[in-house]
Amino acid sequence: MAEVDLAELPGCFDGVIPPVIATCSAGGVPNITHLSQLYFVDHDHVAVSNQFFAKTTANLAENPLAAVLVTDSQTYDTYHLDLRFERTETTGALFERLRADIDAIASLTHMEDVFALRGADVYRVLEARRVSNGVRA
Amino acid sequence: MQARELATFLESGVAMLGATADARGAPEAFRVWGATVDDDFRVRANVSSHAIRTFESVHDGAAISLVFTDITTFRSVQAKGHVVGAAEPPGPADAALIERYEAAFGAALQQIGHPLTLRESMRPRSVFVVTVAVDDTYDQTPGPTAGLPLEQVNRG
Repeated sequence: MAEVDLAELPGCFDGVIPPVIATCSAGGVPNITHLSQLYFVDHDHVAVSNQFFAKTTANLAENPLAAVLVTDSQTYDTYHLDLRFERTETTGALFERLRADIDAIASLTHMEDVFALRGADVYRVLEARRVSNGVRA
Repeated sequence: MQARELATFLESGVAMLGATADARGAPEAFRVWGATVDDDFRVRANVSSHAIRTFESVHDGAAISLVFTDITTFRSVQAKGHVVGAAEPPGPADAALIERYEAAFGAALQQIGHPLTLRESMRPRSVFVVTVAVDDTYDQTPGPTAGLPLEQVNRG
């Protein structure tokens, strides 16, 4: 799997620096959009809150491959994750964890009427590589 | 969105990212470090050299998507199009653009409480330049209109 141990990168999963997710349609057209937060599930899996990602969801139905670019808020290192979509969870502990976070973000940004969690999308991490090194004062 | 409107948005210090996909359909996401748009809706984008797969596979006609986000308001626009020509090394005008971009993006980062060291960390070691003919623009701002064509959103 990954040469990077995601468990050692909590700053990638705190939502301080919003990551982006890229997907691709069956026709080869990429799509890229910001995420509010990336979630650590286990050493081989991450999760993304599915809120209003119509195109991302449509692409994943055709092609499960995805990529995330995420910057660690503690080190400022940036990582590129190659992912394969596995499933969407709409109940259970992971879903509830994401819902609590989404509700908090919505409250902080006064976007309660905009943020609504549809599911927790779970991805297998195929590869993780650091693409830039952080510079901290 | 008109080209002039997009040009103004791009000069305002927005976060810039992009994606391509290889022949297997595996996407690659990358940072863009400054971009301009001309009146023919062609975006000239400085792509981070960490996008190794993109650099190796980019070709005339390749599909590409770019997302531009005002990090102070969340307003976000995605431009989808195709690459025109081949990747190029940056020239003097691109280097000048990078300086302008860094100043504007750095100001935006500071406005939301991030230090300039974050910008320094995000700065690519080098860039290559791609020209993108924009076919469609989409609203990517969080909310119910996310993913809709900007033309449709602007019509209400």
